[in-house]
Amino acid sequence: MASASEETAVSIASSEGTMFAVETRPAAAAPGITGITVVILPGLVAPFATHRDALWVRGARRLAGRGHRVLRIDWHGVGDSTGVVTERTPAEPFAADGLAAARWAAATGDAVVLYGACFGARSAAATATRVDGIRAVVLLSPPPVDVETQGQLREQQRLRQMGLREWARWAAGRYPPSTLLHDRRSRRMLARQAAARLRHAFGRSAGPATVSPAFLADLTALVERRVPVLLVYGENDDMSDVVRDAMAGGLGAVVQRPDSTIDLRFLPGVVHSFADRAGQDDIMSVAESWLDARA
Amino acid sequence: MSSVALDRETIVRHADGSDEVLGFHGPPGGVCFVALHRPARPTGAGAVVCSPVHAEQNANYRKEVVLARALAAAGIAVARFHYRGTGNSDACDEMTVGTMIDDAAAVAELLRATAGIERPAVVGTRLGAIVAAAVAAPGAPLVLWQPVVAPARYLRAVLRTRAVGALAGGDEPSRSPAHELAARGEVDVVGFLIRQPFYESVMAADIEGALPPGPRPILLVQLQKSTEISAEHAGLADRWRAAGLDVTVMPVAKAPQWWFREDNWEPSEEREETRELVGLTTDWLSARLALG
Repeated sequence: MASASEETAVSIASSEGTMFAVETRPAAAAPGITGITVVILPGLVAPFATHRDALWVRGARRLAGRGHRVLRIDWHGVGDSTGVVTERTPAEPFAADGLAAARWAAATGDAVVLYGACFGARSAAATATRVDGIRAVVLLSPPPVDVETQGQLREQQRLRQMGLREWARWAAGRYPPSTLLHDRRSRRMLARQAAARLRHAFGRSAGPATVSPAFLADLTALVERRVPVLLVYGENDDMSDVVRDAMAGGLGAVVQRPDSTIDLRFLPGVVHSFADRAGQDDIMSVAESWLDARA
Repeated sequence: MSSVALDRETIVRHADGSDEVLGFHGPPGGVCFVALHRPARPTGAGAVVCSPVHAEQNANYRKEVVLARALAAAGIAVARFHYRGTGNSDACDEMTVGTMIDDAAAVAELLRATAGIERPAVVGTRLGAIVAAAVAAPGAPLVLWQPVVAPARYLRAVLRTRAVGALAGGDEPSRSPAHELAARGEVDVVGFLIRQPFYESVMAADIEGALPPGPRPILLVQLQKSTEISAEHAGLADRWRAAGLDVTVMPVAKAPQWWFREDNWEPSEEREETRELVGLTTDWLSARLALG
């Protein structure tokens, strides 16, 4: 495992701000140098440095101990980066930030692996389809739908089941004109919900529990580009039932197609949120072993 | 501005002319991550920010960044850092309140060496308030955000978080965390390891005992739902006033979710309580440091 002495602070310009990042060089004690730079794209809830007892700092140093160079980033508006996060939804992954980080990694001359967790996994998938030469992608518990929690999913389902008139009454109460006038986020949320509601009304929505079309398109593109993907959920994740249901539909069609490059695994317990230390170690070990086979 | 301040550093420049040097400091095995905020027009004043730890460090992180940028814009140099055993600093299984104080003292010395600031103000949150009190130079202004005044109660609340986390996840709480700590020497609280040496050092910590004697201005900011000052904070302020200290107590009527995610997330810098907290701290420090 590497230490802070093998790390360098890095700034990476993105269209949304200057991202703070840390580069970990392959550890001096590593068995060999793999020529791979792993870009860790964390969730959006906390800085990479402090999330769950420095989970991603430990993760980076463990990967460096296996001979990889590692870059871990703070998204714009998070941790030590500049900028402001104006919206946090899996429907709008931070591909611009991801691309900037991937380009920094590619400039080292190494092969690039994107390693994302939660919101970062959705952003990793979106990034990997926009840049050439990605060696592999690790996706830890990406939200399969365009909301983050079961509570939000239930709310989405309830809204879709409303009649248009009932929905319009709800929207007028939830987003009064004074709010819409002053709050850009509210305007965007209302526009998105209205579009979804209209798609559903005109029969163009495949149903509330289906996987996000954008996420599905990203996974399909990665299969067609022959990029190996490790897709991991916890058996007790908030969204694991949604994933299992989706395997009977569009997600299954991509994951199980004969030429699929996606390795879907369900691990015991919870992956999303990383809220227990032994589980953190298990998840990191699974990803490391999978990457070893591709180094 | 050039820099030879930190090892393996990067510099981020802001539109107001200030910049941030982010990098590492300390000997191999004892390296701390440090962020130095350098004003475009330095006033000769400075501040060291002492973070809380564990999930509270997460919850407070962006507020500290926003505060440091606001202070730098006001001409005050700021040093933020991660204690050894946390964040980007070196791992340290033996982290205690004592090692946290050592790290803060080293960063205060770094601010002196790189920016010529002899008596920086110190800002500390939760457990970081005890660290801040311990490293504040004689007469230096001290800002305490929701300080830990009763360490035993603080630790009980931290350990209870595990049971709440288990219940929230649909699990039965397992054995008593205090028993597990005693038996295994560590306990996992929603993904954060609390180790025995740390636990014991917090139990022995005392914000009043940590503060060096002598007059100084102190701002105590209470972050709770109520604007009524708690008996704990009022009592601490009264005892310090009786000892001749100039204590201001101000409430910000918002209790942060220190350990769990908030349902209605919005970015720190757009929150009313962040603006209020950063604004009143910046104004208070600017006035006190100018007087000093």
